[in-house]
Amino acid sequence: MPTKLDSRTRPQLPPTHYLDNRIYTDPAVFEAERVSILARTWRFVCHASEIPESYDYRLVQVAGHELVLVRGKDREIRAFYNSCAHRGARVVRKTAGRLEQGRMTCFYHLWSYDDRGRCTGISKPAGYRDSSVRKEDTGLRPVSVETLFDLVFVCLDDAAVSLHDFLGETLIETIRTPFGIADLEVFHLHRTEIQANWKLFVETNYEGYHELLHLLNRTTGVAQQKYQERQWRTHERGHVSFDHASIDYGNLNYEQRKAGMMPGMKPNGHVVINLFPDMLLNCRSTVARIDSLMPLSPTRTLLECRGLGLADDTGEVRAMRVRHHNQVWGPTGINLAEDMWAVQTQMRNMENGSSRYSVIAREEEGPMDDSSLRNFYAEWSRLTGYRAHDISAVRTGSTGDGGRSAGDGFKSVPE
Amino acid sequence: MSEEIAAQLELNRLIHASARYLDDHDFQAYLDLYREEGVYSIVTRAPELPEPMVWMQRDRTELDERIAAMSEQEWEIAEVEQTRVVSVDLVEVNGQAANTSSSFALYHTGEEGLTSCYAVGRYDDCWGKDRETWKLLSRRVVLKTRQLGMLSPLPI
Repeated sequence: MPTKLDSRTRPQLPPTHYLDNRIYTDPAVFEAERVSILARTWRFVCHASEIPESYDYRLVQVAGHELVLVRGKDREIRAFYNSCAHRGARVVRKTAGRLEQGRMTCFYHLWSYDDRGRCTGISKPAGYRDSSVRKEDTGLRPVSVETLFDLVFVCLDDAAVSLHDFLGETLIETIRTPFGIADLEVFHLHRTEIQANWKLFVETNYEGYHELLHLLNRTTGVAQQKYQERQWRTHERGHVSFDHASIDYGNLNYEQRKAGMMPGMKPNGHVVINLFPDMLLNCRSTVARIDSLMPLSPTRTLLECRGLGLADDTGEVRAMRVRHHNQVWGPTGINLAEDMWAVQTQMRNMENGSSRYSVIAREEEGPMDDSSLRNFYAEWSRLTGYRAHDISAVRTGSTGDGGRSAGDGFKSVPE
Repeated sequence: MSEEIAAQLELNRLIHASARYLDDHDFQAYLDLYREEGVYSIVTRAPELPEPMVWMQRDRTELDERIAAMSEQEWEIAEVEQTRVVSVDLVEVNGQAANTSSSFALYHTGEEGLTSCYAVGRYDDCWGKDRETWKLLSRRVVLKTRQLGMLSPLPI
């Protein structure tokens, strides 16, 4: 029986095949996401090449917290909350740099910490003589860090599964090409604030149907017969990957990408991997891109985009990678602007209630199947306790527990 | 008027004209400011990376092609009015060559009439004189603003 689709009537579709658009606007949902997803899953924060030397550091934002990443004297990368153990002031204040004398000193009362977060100095210690405050028992609060192929991840939840278990062996092997074969280096980093919910941008990376939006995609890959065989692969915990494909750039008069390829990539090859909840790994033969998100509020998201080449690129090859990167991606590329604009128009209609439901019902053996989106929202629902098709129903037990509550039933709450 | 002062005045006029042509979407007039082999680039520096980034680098022909191809796409930036405010800070004339550096601020005004600052930075230009006309050999846009609220391949 045909279902009525008018943006306000609940679609007569399986609950996995449509979304309650309040998942993009409701502050309670956003808070549940922050607690249950953003603070409880492994989050990409930077590439190891961004802090190459001992004592190099940089600040990153995770689930609303500022962390300082430090490469120690022993070359291990560690992460700490950027908050002094004394009275909570910001310890490191510059975005990136190298620790002077291997130390971080809080500017407020001059307490200092070493590259392992251990307190190395409490100013005027005599004042604590009669209390139990001792530098030996003081330190910056550590955060779990794991690195895969120089991709640095942190997790605010000490009880989380390992990064290896979070990703799974199959996906790790998928990521290996091209990210784990040779030493890579970040040559491009830009941020842009999207006036939209973070999941709307994630969706642009999780489905191929919107390739029709992009001049580049609809003119090249989508217009090519072989491309129709490309498929999404769903993985446990909400991750997805998009089969390798070969893209002919001739229709756009762009140069082909058949020389200076990234390791393991085929001529004109293209691969997309999405790590739940918000990381995109993308490679178009000669250049790689990594996106990650910092959700700021239900309706605002900071997007961080990186471009990568090989660490030992010659100047000529690097210039080619930069050119290829900028043709498609980056602030002046032809694709990103379209994605941003599209999701911002969605957001406006969802925020004002004009659009109440979204449809993710495509089922086909090909690149425009929506199974990848359904996989994302199955994991999202498991972790937040909300049903993505109806947020009026909340899982019994506490929400925001990272999917650990025993009950899997839902109760209805008033709208 | 000395030749150098005349050159300074003319270069000043051309820099302001370049801003007005972009504001008015008069891209042909803008491209005509360049020599055939002229190059346009946008660079910026992020504290996280050791080297400056190149966000765009095109010769005149590529710039022309990119602007022409914009008609094949929908662009949010096409829906705003642009206003560039330029201050010429430095003009160095050396015979038939000149270097100039100008600060700029680019404002966007939407259909609803709201104006916001989109980007600030510097135009570092190299000029060459062809007979009586100064032409751009290169324009290097050095962006201070790194978070652009609206993305596009148009010259800034």
